[in-house]
Amino acid sequence: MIPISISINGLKKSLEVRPAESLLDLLRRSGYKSPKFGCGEGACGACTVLLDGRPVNSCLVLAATADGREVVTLESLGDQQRPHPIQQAFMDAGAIQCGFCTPGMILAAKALLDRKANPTEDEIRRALDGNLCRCTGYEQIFSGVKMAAQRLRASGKSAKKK
Amino acid sequence: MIRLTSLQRVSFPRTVEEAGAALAAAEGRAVPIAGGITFAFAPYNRAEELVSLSRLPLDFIAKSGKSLRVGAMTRINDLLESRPVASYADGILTAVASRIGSTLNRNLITVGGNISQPFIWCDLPVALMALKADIVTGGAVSRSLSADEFFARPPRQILKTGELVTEVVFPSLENGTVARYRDFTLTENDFALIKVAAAVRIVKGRCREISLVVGGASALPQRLEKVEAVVRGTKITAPVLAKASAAAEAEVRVIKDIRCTLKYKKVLCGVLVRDILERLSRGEEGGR
Repeated sequence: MIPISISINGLKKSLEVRPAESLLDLLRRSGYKSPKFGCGEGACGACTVLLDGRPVNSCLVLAATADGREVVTLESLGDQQRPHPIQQAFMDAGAIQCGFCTPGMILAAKALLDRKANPTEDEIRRALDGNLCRCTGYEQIFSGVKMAAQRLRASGKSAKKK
Repeated sequence: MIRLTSLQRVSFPRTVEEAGAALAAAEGRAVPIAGGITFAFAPYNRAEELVSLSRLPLDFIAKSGKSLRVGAMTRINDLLESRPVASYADGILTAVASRIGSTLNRNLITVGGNISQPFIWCDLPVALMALKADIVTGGAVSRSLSADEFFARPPRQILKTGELVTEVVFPSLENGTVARYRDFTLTENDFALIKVAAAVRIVKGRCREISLVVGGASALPQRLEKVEAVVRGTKITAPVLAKASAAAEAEVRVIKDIRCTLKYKKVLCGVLVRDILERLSRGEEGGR
């Protein structure tokens, strides 16, 4: 086992990881179930997390190489009682069907809105180009991101905080 | 799926020299890891140690006059969003970066990784050869190699044990040079069947210099020297384009691809070469 220090959703943790363990497997066995195992080869985006603020496929990241880095999963954004504005916008836009891709979509959208308060349609599509929705609900998902961006701008908040 | 069944440890050197020494000391039992994408595709079951390059000071983009230096640990999304990169060579590198993987993977893939471990789908090697970039190495061996030298054989055969790519230097292009990248994919998120990168210098309507490279046809990019000879010194007219297209079809070497026939790839190469040269002769800049 390899010892690592890692920040998960703002909490610093000292963990032991198996040498070839992926960040996705580490997160799921540590109780963070929002990143999903989809394809296992970086094609679907179901396992998206933010690594040092950037959305990545956690199935491709070796957990041991995440030593010293900051990971954010969907669990840190909001819950049923207090959803994050992006989560609320996804619900209002009908952007959730089976829900399997939703955590990845929301984190990819968050990474975009953290950097750009008013993204263009092209920028939204590009930001989500690694996240596949097998229910094919893309139009509602893009609408959800636009709606979230609009609400965050109107409230004067960034996507970083609720 | 990460397949590293023999892995026992990961080290995090802070200098290129330390990284080179760690790799050299392991005598083949250690491999460097940059973005890590390769491990999802290539089995490295024998690797007992990974030498992470993530803490090396190689994440930079620097413009010096009209030339450009890009550190090996620069991620593709940073290349895509960089203004100095967009303003270099008509934005050809921005166009290339936009064709690499998805946003999620571009946040992991590094410039050094994309060229040190080139697969048939890698886009950067094609552009590096067309732009006549130099690849600088450090660690156990420090040297500068032209892209043509670097991609003459699989880079793992070119790089010595403990030698790492540290940066890519894109040269200052002469006035009148225009560059462009073109690829053809069956679907938006598939990798290209064929891609072509070209830089031409046109003076008083005539092509004074040309650099034309094809990727996707075989494991490594190919410079089409016979096509370059057809075009160099000419006005790029319809007959020249037809001749260049036929020459490209004849010259390109293609390997088996489950998605199409060998003949189709050769014809496609001719079509893309004609298309890119036509656009460049009209002075169209950058982009695909």
